[in-house]
Amino acid sequence: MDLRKLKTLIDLVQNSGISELEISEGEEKIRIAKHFTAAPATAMVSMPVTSTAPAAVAPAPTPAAEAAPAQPEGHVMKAPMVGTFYRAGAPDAAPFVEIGQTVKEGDTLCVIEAMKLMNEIEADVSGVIKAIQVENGQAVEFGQPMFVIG
Amino acid sequence: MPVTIAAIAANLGVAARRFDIDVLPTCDSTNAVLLARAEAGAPSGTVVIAEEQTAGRGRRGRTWFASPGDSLTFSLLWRFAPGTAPAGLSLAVGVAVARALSRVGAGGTALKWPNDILRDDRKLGGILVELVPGAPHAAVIGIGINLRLPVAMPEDVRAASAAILAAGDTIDANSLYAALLGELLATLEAFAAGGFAAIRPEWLAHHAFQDARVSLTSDFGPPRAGICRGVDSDGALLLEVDGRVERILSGEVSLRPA
Repeated sequence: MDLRKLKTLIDLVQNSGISELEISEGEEKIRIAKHFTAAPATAMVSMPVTSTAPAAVAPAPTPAAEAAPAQPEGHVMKAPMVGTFYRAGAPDAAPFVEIGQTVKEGDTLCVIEAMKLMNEIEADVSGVIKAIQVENGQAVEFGQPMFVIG
Repeated sequence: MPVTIAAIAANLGVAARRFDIDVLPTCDSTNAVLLARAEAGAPSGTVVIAEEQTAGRGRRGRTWFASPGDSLTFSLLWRFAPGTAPAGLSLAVGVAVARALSRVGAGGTALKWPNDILRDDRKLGGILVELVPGAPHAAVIGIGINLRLPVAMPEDVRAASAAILAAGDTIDANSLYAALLGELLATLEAFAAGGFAAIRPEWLAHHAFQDARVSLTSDFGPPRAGICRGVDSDGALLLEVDGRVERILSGEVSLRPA
């Protein structure tokens, strides 16, 4: 097979959609694989992957970011009633607890108020406050996780 | 006339058996004292009366001052069936107070959501309910009612306050305590059986701001304007904002200046 013919074949493969060409002519056998174009092809395939990735990953970090700190290992204290969550006993008072603080069973963690009915919530286990999952002044639903104690 | 357990019990009649009354000459907060007693196992119906309260608790730490004879300050422990969340209890208690005042000839009271007792648009009394930590079906119900306004009172507070008695008038506090406890007993039994829904019509009949333009304020976020559409069967405030009615659980309601 002469070089001109070979080049024609290479160009043919290069500009075609095929990635590999194998020709047998008598004793001669030639195989052209589009590794060179396969690389850009791979890059093109990986491009959509990387360009999809931010799109697909973008929503993912939100649940991941919430779930990760929201669910550290430990005992989850849930809201026993619907109401407003207060981290302190009075607007100008210091919060009952902070993250990292060690609490004993029976220590006050927060107050939930609904219609001037105040429910002071005590830790039901001893441990360290790993997470506080509700903002001061935010409404909580029944059963909503409030604290993780580990 | 001094406040005595015997005189209150005599006025209560058979209902006296449902209460275990203690009168303290002075106390920092009847709610605080009773919460401690509740945690130590005090029975339902335990009452702590303070002739003088030095650090009464209002909502979230706001203080309530009481001088001897100027006001009624007491707390009642009520244990509901386990597993029940006493939503709307503050409102139900307001109805009991309105009934009791009417019974002793001090009617004309109105109720402001969720826990204020008004007369002539001024505050006559307040209610603060605290659930017993670790026993959320047990409630300490704190009630403060102005008998007469103290002489030494900041003018802005005086302008917003009302009292049962005019200057020079007297009332037998024992009969008033008995009327309050008697009406609380009836109301709390109705509440235990039927929830706030059973008391709601009477609450609405006393509602100070029904269909009025109000402002809802809270410690968080800006005030919200709306029309006060009463309360639902849980006791939540129904606030109409831009034609939509919202259910409100927390905050303070005041009349909006026109």
